[in-house]
Amino acid sequence: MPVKKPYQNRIELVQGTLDLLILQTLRLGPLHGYGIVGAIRARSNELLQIETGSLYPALHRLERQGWIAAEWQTSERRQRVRVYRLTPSGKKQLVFQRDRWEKFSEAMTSILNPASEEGPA
Amino acid sequence: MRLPLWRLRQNQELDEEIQAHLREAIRERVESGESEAEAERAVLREFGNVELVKEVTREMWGWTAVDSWVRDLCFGFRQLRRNLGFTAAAVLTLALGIGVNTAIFSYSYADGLLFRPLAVREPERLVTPFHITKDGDNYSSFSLPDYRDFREQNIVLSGLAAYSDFEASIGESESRERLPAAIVSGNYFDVLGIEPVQGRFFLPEEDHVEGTHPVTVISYGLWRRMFQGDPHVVGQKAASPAIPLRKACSDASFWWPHRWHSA
Repeated sequence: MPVKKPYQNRIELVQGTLDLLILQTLRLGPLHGYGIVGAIRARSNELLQIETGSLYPALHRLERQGWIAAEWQTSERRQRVRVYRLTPSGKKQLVFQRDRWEKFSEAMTSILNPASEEGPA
Repeated sequence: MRLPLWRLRQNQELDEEIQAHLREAIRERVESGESEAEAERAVLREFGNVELVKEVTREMWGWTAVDSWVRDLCFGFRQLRRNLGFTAAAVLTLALGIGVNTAIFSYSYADGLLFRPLAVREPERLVTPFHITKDGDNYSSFSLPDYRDFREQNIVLSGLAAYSDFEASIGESESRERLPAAIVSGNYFDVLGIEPVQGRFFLPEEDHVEGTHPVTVISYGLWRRMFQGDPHVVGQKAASPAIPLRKACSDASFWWPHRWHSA
């Protein structure tokens, strides 16, 4: 049996944020797998490089949840590509996850930059 | 292991999708100056273990569990085929056990008593009284005088009948058989609410004095079997040295709720 453990751990750690990134990216228009990686890299100013190994399990997982839908299309180079788009329930999920992310971000901020009250020494 | 068509297609599409991704990544690198070989290596390194990715995705789909059970099953069968002696022993043991259980539940008390409703008028109202002593023992046997007392003073039950099992010799000389029988109180059939098929059951006066008016009721099954359903048999005196009896006939092969036999 192949060693799955380290791989799964990596996916789990990023799972929440990866889902959010994918959903947000597709909000701006349907894309195929390779395009999603490029878009995230571009829009994050080259900061975020999605591990392609985590991308496809994530895409299929989101598809199974019904938040994105896929269909085969032919690209300009006359190749078959599987293009994903956001579904209505996916849009709702995106809003929900953005909300959660913002709360999380606020929490992190307030921990990392404590207010000027005296804390316990 | 053969997969159903739609799952094969699902796996193939995943392959195709990943291959397309890799091709595009390679092409982009080549366009920005790398050699094909370099590009391919870099892309594969970046992607990670392709087979592993596919497996993780397939696992997420959830069929791997089913696959592994099916594979285990096939392995089991192959093992059984290879050890025929052991397989035969196991199969025989199971067959014996299952067969015996089935037989018990099809042909015996369980079937007659548990699974078919008693062939009396209101089976759900039929009860057996028990005698519980101070020490906690219980008996369902009563003496005849006790029975008579209970019957006279009974205000709880609609009727109280008594029976006592024994084995009787029934039949003419050559065809004589020993059959399960019972001595019953005169109100037995009234309490059970059974009507005779032929003849009559007991008359009230027949119950009063011991030893007089012996009347036999035989089951329908016995009537047909031993007397070929001859209606003249009913009402006759039975030639039995044990007890001179008159015959009447009850319906249902199961005229005896407390014991079931195929008559």
